[in-house]
Amino acid sequence: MADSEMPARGPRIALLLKLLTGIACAAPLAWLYWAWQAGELGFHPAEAIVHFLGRFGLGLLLLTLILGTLAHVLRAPKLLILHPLLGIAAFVYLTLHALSWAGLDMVWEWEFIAMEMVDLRYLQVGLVSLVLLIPLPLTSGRGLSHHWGSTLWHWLHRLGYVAVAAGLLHLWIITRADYALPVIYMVGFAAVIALRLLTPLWHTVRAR
Amino acid sequence: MRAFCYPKPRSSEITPRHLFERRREFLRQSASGLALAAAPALWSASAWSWTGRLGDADPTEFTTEGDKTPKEAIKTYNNFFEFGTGKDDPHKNAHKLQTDPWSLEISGEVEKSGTFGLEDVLKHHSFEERIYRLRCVEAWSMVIPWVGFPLADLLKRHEPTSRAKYAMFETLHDPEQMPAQRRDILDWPYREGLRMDEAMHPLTILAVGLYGDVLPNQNGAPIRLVVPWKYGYKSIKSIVRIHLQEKRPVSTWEAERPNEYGFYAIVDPEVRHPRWHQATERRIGEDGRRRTEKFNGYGEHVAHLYEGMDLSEYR
Repeated sequence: MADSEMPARGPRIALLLKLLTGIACAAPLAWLYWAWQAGELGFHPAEAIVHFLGRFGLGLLLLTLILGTLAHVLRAPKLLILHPLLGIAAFVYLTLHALSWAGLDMVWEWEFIAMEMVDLRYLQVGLVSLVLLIPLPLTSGRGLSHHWGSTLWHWLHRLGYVAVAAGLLHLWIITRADYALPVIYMVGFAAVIALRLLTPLWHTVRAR
Repeated sequence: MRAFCYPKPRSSEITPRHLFERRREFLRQSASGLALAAAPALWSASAWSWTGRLGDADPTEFTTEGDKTPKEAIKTYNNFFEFGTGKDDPHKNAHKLQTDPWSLEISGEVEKSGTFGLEDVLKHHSFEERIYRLRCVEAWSMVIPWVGFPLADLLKRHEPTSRAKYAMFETLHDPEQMPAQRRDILDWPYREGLRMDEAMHPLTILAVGLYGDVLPNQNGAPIRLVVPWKYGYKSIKSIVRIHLQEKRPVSTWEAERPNEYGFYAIVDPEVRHPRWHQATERRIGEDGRRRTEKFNGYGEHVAHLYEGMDLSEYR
């Protein structure tokens, strides 16, 4: 992020924070792989893996939005040092989510993959969500946001909101009885949107 | 004694007679087979036990080709929302279910209605092993060696009246024993229904065991329906009531989402479902995917029940 200036001790703490966050993001993936190999995922591991990666990835993406919003609302740009890391981790999870569906659940049978993609709305919505995300990790470096100028970069990265919205729709369509998780995610997303919309208003009111 | 009766027997159909002959074989096998001969005793009032072995029965006419799904898979990968929506929730939570004593109410359009202790119901039946494919609407499947008896045998004993057009089934409703019933995830108690000819079909059984043992709780103990040519949600578990009626009942999932879960729920790769593609399935325990068969492969036995019905409309 462009606007995080570190005090003297800053870089080391920042590095430590990034490291811890990186570990926290990678640990569930490592656990999933271990559980899969150890046969801990039950008798339909493909399903367990696809669901886990999707739920966790969408949660991480939402968390990325929450972090960005908090940094904005609290005027604490330092929070943003974790922003690219979370975003990239979310992208990795969601990409693996799609790949595990195609590879483990559809066993790379292109006929089945095509059939399902054509017939099932939630898969189309999910794919749109993932495709929208592709530009974001590609432009998440500090350099690019400088180079492009803040405005263009911020506009591009608003795709994150569209992707989360599409991801939530995808999750909503496939949920059928227990809506606990989608509701939690939706409340989080609604809070982010509300804060984003209300903060400028709040600042103008205060400025008067 | 007629073992079963098709509603509209047609001379062109060989199957019924064929089944009829085999049916007598089952009975003979039941009577002569050592394990099975011992089994009914287990179910008598004096030797009532839910942990007893029912014994292995010989394969029947309806035995499915292909490997049986491992017992561990059948016991740990379940949909039984009364115990939670996760696949392993039923396995974890179903121990709270008390299956003994158990009573079964048979009501509605029958001459002999009443509430009966399960042992009094079961003492009239000898058990058969039926190795059936089970196809879940979620596009997975299993091959399960059930132990049970034809539903028709039970219904006939209670003498359905001429107004009995449908059978409605109800699962136990007791949040103390079925913890997820405390939550409003479905309109409890779970209900299912069959048309009378479907209920009387010789493939339709009430199961009390699998793999030769009494049913594990998570698989619908102590008594459940198995209708192998329909999606799994029709095969209602832990039944406390069977009600025959003139009006078509509305099943729980049908009430929840009528555009997804039809009353007929016939396994059909051609009929689209918005959530799961029905053209293929994952046989639990296998690595690849299989193509789903119409009527789950039981077309020769049941297709005639739906002649003249557009199954994409009557889902």
